[in-house]
Amino acid sequence: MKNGIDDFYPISWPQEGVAGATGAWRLKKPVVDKAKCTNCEICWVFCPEAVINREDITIDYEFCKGCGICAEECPRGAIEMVLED
Amino acid sequence: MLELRIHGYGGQGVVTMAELLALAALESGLVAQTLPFFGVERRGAPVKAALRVSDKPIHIYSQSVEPDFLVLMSEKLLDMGMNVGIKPESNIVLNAPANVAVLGHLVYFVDATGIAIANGLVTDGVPYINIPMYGALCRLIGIEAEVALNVIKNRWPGKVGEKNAAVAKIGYDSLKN
Amino acid sequence: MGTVLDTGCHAVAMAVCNAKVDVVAAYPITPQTSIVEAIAEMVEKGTMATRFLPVEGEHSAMAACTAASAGGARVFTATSSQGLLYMHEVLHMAAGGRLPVVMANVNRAVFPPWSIYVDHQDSLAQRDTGWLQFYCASLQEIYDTILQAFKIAETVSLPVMVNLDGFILSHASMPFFVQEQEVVDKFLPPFEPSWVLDTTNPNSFGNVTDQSVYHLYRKMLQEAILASLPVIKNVAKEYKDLTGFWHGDTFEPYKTDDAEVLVLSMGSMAAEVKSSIDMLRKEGHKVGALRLRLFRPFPADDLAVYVAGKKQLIVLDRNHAFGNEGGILFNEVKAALFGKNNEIKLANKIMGIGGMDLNWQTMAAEIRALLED
Repeated sequence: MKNGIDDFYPISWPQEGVAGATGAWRLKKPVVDKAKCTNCEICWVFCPEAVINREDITIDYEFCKGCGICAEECPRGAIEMVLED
Repeated sequence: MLELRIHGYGGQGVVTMAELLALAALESGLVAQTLPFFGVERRGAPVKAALRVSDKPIHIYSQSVEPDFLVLMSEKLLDMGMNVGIKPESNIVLNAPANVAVLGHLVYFVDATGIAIANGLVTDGVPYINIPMYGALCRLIGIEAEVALNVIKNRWPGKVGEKNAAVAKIGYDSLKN
Repeated sequence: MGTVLDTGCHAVAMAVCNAKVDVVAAYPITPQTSIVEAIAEMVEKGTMATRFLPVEGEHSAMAACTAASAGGARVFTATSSQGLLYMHEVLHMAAGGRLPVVMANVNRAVFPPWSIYVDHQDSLAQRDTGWLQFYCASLQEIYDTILQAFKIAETVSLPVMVNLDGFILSHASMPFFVQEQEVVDKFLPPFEPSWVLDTTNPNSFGNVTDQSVYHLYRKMLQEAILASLPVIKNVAKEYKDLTGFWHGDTFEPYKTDDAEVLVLSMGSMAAEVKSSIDMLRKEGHKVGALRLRLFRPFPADDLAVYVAGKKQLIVLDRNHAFGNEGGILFNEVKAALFGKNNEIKLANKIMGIGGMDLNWQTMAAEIRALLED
């Protein structure tokens, strides 16, 4: 039983980190240049993993897979993809 | 039969490298099998592949659990526990600039990343580490350098193949333990 | 061509190319996709003189295949899992219409929940559609069986499904021998149908029948499937005589002669189980293995011969026979042996569902646990 539902139903629940610490998948990481950022929230809209904080445009690197969509979509060019060391 | 299990990240060319190794084994008169494990097919996701080399027909299709050689394309994979479950006799091959001691195992290393960068085998900031690593692994499993390099030249005819073969040769000569 | 190192999916595509297929209609699905990609590429490059129909789904793929086959073409398609289930209705049309369509099915588990990995539920759920069914255990066998399938299908006017384990046989790269085109041409001459849908001589196909007629067609279909067995054996032998390659016709036996216990299975697990047999023999158990290559028609008489005098038959199933005890193969075996050999003890184990890894050590442990002393 989970959430009052029998186990035999093939259902799963949304949960942070359900696919593991996917931050380890990154080859490059997005770095936000605060001087250029206007808090337009476009990156927050496009991030497929919902790892960008809407309030202060910070990225949760524990789960960011490094797909680079935020950097591609940023209208100010404020996000750079930097090779992981 | 010799069994290798290779761990890396999507985009590092693990599957391509395993296929090149199988071709080199085939060219050396052996039978080979590559068995990629398909999980999430995305750049950056952890990937693994098995390579089996034998002088007899292979009828084993299961995943590699206790390989003779565990190949890690990044030191980071050691931290992720990819070496858990291997047998005491299993040797480890690392892409690393220097040797890393792993208790109870013989560790080979080759600086595949350094070799790729130093020789300009880089696209979009990402080094092709699979080419020097391929060279090193060919030497490890006893494939002659000439055979190893011909496989690369046949795969990429022309200038690209020549360049890749030269880098593979550096990898071949740089394997240490 | 000679020996190449490539994947099981590409072995299928190379055989289809060698078979000089007229029409391919297919829809991509994991892990079958690289079959369709390879064929599409060869058609695009002109290596294959084939009409490729990129349809919008598997139901349409099989509909296009049956129609093209009825028009006199040699046709091929490939699918997997949900795609095969989606085809189900039209599979009956191909078999009932006595159309020699050849299909490669890359075995994959069935939804839900989703799994892209191997088990045999998808193809065994098509057991009663009237298709002949093969299960392969090596890349060489995949290539050879696709070629044999066209010859069998066109000889007995029945569709043939060639099954290969998803990601294991489909994506493993191994060496296999590709025949010269002249050799294949000699083995597989162009398709010459005895009947075609022809606009210059109009006739209809699969028309409405009344009760006095319908059952006769069904009876003829059943008789044709059962009568295909000697043809299948002849084709395997003819292929062997021509090329030297032999994977068994109905079964592939392994150390069965002096065995007291036989282990029966299908697909790639039946290849790896040979190592389990070797291990158990070293421990002193008199075991041998039988690999079922041909599932439909079910070679019941051959099975009876193999198990004659044996103490026990252990059946390993990579599927469920939902609503009945044991797997589908186990139930087939029980039905086949009843009345032929009631003395033999039978045991069953369902394993490897949804791609659960089956190595020879774990299979040996399961077999050891089922041995009756």
